[in-house]
Amino acid sequence: MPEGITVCLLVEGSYPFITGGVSAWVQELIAALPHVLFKLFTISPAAKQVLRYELPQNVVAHRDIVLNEKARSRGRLAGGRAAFVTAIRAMHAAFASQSDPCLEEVVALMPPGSFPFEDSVREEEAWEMIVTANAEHNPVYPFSEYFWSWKSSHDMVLRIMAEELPEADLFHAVCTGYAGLAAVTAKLRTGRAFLLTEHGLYHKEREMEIKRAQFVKGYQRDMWIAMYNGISRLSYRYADVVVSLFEQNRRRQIEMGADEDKATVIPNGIDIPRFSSIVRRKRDGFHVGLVGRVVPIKDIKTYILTAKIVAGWIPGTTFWCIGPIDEDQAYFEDCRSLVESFQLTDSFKFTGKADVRSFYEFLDVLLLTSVREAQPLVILEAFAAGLPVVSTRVGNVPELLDYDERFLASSKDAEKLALAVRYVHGHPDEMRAVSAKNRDKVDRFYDKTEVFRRYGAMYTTLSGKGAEWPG
Amino acid sequence: MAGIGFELKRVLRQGGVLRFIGVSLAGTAVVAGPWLLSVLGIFLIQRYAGTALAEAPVLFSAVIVYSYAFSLILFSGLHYVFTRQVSDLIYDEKNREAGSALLSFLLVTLVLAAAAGCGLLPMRLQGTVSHPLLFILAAELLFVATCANWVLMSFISLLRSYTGILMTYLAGSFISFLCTFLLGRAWATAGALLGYAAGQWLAAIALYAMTLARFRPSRLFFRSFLSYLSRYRMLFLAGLLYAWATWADKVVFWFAFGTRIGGSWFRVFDSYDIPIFFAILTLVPSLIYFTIETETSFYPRLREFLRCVNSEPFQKIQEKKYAMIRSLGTGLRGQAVLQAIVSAVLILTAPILGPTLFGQGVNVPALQITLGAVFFHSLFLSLLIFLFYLEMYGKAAISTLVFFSVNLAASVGIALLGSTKLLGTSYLAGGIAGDLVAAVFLVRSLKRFDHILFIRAMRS
Repeated sequence: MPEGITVCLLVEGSYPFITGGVSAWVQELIAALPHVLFKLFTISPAAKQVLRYELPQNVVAHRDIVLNEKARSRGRLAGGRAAFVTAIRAMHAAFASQSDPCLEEVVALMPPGSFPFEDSVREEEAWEMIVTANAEHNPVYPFSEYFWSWKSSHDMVLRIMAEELPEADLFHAVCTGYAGLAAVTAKLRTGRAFLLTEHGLYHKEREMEIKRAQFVKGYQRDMWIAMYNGISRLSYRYADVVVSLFEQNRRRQIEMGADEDKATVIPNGIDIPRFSSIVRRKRDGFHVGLVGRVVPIKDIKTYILTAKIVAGWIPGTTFWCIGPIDEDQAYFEDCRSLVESFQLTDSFKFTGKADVRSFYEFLDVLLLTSVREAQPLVILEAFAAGLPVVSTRVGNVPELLDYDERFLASSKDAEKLALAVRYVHGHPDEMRAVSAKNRDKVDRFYDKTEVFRRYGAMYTTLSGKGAEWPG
Repeated sequence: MAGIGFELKRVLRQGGVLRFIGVSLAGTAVVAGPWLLSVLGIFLIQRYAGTALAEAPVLFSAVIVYSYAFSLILFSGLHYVFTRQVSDLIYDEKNREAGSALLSFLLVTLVLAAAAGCGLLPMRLQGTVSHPLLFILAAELLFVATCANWVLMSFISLLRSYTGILMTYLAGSFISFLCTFLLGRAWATAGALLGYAAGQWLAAIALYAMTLARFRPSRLFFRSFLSYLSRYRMLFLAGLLYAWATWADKVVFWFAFGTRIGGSWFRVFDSYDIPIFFAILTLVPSLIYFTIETETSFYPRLREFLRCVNSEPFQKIQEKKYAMIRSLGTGLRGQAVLQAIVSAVLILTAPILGPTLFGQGVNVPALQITLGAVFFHSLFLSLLIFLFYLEMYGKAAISTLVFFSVNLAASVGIALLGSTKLLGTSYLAGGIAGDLVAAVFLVRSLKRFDHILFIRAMRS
C-alpha cells in the first residue's frame, strides 16, 4: 500500500454534503486507502452545509469554498490587467476555434488570491471582448443579460483559478468542471500530477441541466454549454491520467481532448461479500424495489407510474422506495401526492434512509428509473445479492445488463418498464440463471478491493513515490 | 438643478412675459446664488448709502466680500456633499429625513461658522469706525448668515416655488438696504453692517420657513452625513477645490498687492477686485443658457440612456448614448457661443464701459483679461456639473485641482514678479487648464459611460 502520500481530493457538489453514488465512492476510496492522507477541497453551491458523511481519520484537512461567493482579491495580477486580459482573450479565441486552449499564461499571470474579474473588466480590451461577443451571439436581446451571464461565468472560473489549493503530492479531481479546473491550475502552479476520475461526463450533465432550466434563455444556453465543454476540455488536456467508469465514456473523453494513452477505465466496485452473503428469503407477494434518493434525477415519478401499471397486472405487489427522502422535500411531497392519487398508499412504501441489505433479502426485482446515471452501484449490489434488475437505458446500464432489451427501457417509459417487471415476475427460473451470470460478472470485474488497489497504485506512481503505474 | 430649467422651458412654451421674467430672475437667484446679488448689493449700497458709510466704506465692502469668500473657501466642499445627501433623500421620497438633514446641517454650519467667525475678533477698529464692537458683532452675524444662506441655497433649489424664492430674495435684499440706511444713520458704518446682516438673516429665516411646509424635520441626525462625507469624499474635494480655484488669485493678490484696511487684517486691491467682481457678473447669461437649454436637453437623454442600459440591446444603448453626447455637445456649443459673444462685446467695450461704471481709475486691461477668463470659467462650471451628473467625482476633483493649482501657481508667480500688468492671467490660465482636463475627462467618460455603469453595478 502507498504510504506517506498526500492527495488533494477535489470534489464538486457532492461529498461530503450530499449523498449519492459519487459521494459513496469517495467515502469508500478514502476508507480503502488508510495510509494515504487526504486533503479535501470541496466546491459547494452554498455555505455551511451539513456533513452527510463522517470523514475518515485519514482526511487531514477539509476546505470548502462556495462557488458564487464574492471573493475579495488579496493579490495583484503578475503582469498587470492588460496582459491578463490579452491572455484571457487568447483563451477565448482558442475555445472558439475548438483548438487546445493554453492555460499556462493565464495561471502564470494570476497569483493565488487574486480575483481579477472586476479589475479586468475595467480594461478597454475586456469590454471590447464582451461587446464583440455580444454582437455575435446576442444582438437582439438586452445587453445587460449577456453581460451578467458573462460576468457570472467568468467570476466562477476565475474564482476557482485564484484559489490556493492545499499542499499535496498530487491532485485528484472527481469530475472535470470547477473541481477539474482547480486541479489544472494547481498542477500548473506546482508541477504536481493531476488525476481525473469521471463517473458521468460533467459537461454532458451540465448540458442536460441547462437545457432543462427555464431561466436560461436560448442564446445563454449556448454560452454556458460552450463554457462547460471548454473547462472539461482543459481538464482532459492537462490531466496526467483520465479515468472513466466504462469504455463508452472513455471514448467520449478522448473525443474531447483526452490523450488516448492517458485515458483508462476503472469501473465502480462494491464490497462483494457484504452483498453476496445476503440470504434471500421469499416473502409473500411480489416485491419491487428502487434504491436511491427521492430526487428528480432518479425519476421516482416514473417509478410510481410504473407501479400503478404493474399493480394492475400483478395484484399483491409491494413497491419499495429505499433511500433518503429529505434532499428535495418538494419533490418528495409531489411523489407522495402522486402515490395517493394513484391509490397506491397501501402498496407503495417510502422507507427513508435504510440498510439496503435487509431489502435485498426479499426483493424480487430491482428497478431503476433514473434519467441519468454513470455506473450505478445499486445495480452491482443487486447483482451481487442475486437480484434481477430492470432499468432505464442510461450511462453504463445497458452494458451491465448485457444490452438485454427485455430489462431495458427508455427514460420515462413507464409502460416498457412495467412490461419488463412483468417479464421478471413471469419467468422466475430464467431469472435465477440471469442472476447467477450477473453475480459472476460482479465477482470478476467489480470488486472494490481491486478497484481501490489500482487507485493506490496510481497514487504511488503519480506522486513519484513508487514504481511506475502499469496503466 | 434641472428642475428650474424645465420650469423655464415650460414658461417659454406657454408664453407670458411677466411670468417668464419672474422665473428667469428666480432661476438666476437660484443658480447664480447670493454671490451675484451681493456684488450688485455692494455696488448699489456703495453708490447710494451716502453718509451711512462715510466713515469706512471700504471696510464695509471688504467685510461682505470676505464673508462670501471665506464662507465658500471653508465650507463649499460640505455643501456639495450635503446637496447629494438631500437629493438622495428626496429621490427616495424621504422628505422628513431631508428636512431633518437640512436642520442638522444648518446647525452644524452655524456652529462652525460662528467658530470660524472668531477670526474677526483680533480686529482693532478704534479710530476706524465709531462703534468697533458693534461692527465686529455685525461682521460675525453677517458671516454666519452668509454660511447659512449657502446651505439654504443648496436646498432651496429643490423647491418648485420659484416665485416665492425670488420674492424672498428681493424682500431680503430690500430689508438689507433699508436696514443699512436706517441703522447706518444711528450707528454709522457699524449700524449699516448690522442692518445689512439683519437683512441676510431675515432672508435666511424666510428661506428656511419656506422649506418647512414640505420638509418638516423630525429629529436631528449627524451620523448619516458623516457616512456621506466618507463615501463622497471626492465630491467634497471637488467642491472645496472649486471654491479655492475661484478665489486663489483674489486672495493671493489681496495679500501681495492689496492695501491693508486700518485696524483689520482685511486687504483690498481695487485694481483687481473691481474688474474681477464685475467680470464674474457676466457669468449670468451662460448660467441661464445652461439652465434652460444645455441641462434640460441633456438630462432627459441621460435618463433615457440610463433606463435603456438594463433593458435594451447593445445597439440601442449606443444610440441613446450618442444622442446624449450630441445633446451635450450642442448645448455646450450654444452656451459657449453665447458667452463668447457676451465676453467679446464686453472686452471690446471695456475701455469705455469700465471708466463709465467704475471711474477713470479702473484697470481696463485687467477687466478685459478677467472678462475673457470668465468665458473659460463658465465652461468649466458646466463641464464640472456634467461630471457630477455622471458621478465622476474623482475626475471632477482632479479638474478642480488643476484649475486651482494653475491659478494659485500663476498668481504666486505674478505676485513674486510684482507684475500687475499680468493681473487676471492666472485666473485665465487656471480656467483654460481646468477646461482642458475636465473636457478630456468628460468626453472619455461619456464615450465609455455604459462600460463605467456596468463596472459600478458590479461593485455595488
